[in-house]
Amino acid sequence: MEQLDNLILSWNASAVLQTGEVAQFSLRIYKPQFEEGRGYYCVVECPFLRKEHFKIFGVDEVQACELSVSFINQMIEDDVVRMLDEFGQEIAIPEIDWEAFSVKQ
Amino acid sequence: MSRPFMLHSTIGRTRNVDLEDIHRTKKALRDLGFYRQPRYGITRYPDEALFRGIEDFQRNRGLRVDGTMKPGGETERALESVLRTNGVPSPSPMSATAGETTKSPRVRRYERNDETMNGSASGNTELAFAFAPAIPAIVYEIAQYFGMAVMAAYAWWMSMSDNQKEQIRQKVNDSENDEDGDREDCDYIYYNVDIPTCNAIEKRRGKRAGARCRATAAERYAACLKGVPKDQWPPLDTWNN
Repeated sequence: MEQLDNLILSWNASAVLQTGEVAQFSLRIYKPQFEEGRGYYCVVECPFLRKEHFKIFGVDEVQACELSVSFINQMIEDDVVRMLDEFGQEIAIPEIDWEAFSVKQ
Repeated sequence: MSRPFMLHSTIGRTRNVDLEDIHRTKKALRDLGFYRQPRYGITRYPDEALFRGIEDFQRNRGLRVDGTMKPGGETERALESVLRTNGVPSPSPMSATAGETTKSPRVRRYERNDETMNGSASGNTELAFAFAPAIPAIVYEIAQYFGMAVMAAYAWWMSMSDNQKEQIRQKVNDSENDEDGDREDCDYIYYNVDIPTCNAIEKRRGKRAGARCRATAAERYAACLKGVPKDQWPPLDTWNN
């Protein structure tokens, strides 16, 4: 389990599925780390998809963040019709601006 | 208000296609009843069912039946018209790169810094074909098992130690032909095959090539986890072009 201070995205929504059901959707993406022989990766937790986390790799921190979001979007695109916030407004998983995030730290 | 249905490039059996075009066209044809969504969902990659769906649509509308759709052509215009008439919203991609050209901004960033690689990379590509190595038979089996291009599988095979080669040989020989992609295999292929291959590609051909490779590796990983048959996975992009 990753430490919460390494969290760079914590996102929650209600997912409206193709079947009409509504499911709770939560997504956590952690700060990129480096693994020798593979490159930079983000740990991605998405219980809607599976209990175990994913490790998504990129050529650098920026791509690791980008691919983490696009990977999740690809995983849900056929099952989830739309995502809604607590007010019933349609929302989408935000892109992670790693360059802006790393400057703040 | 949904945007009109418009292609970026021609869709056809022998064409280099735009993946977002494929995705949107499949969704549009599905909504009109000309494409049956597979149980594993709609992929961005062309398949025979798509071309048959286009032909069925063309036949239904009295158009020339050739399984091809060109930007601004009669089939595209007819599809747009039917979607509008039926009140079916023109499918739009969910990704943030909607409306952009084929190359993802995730990869275009690296092209600006890697322009000097292009000339040498294309030269290396020609040399790679001119001096094609004798490829062991196991590499073809690996390529088929892991859903890789043969040259990518060969590059990966050559980067392995003798112990690793023996483990892979055992795995390929012992496993059944699981076309649906078992989830454990998905993690294995992504972490132990595709990503190390991309790492090796990056070292040999530069950051842009590594970025392209990793982008396709993530797409393959998602396709596998969704149960897409291996022969429909996107290829691992191992070329710098």
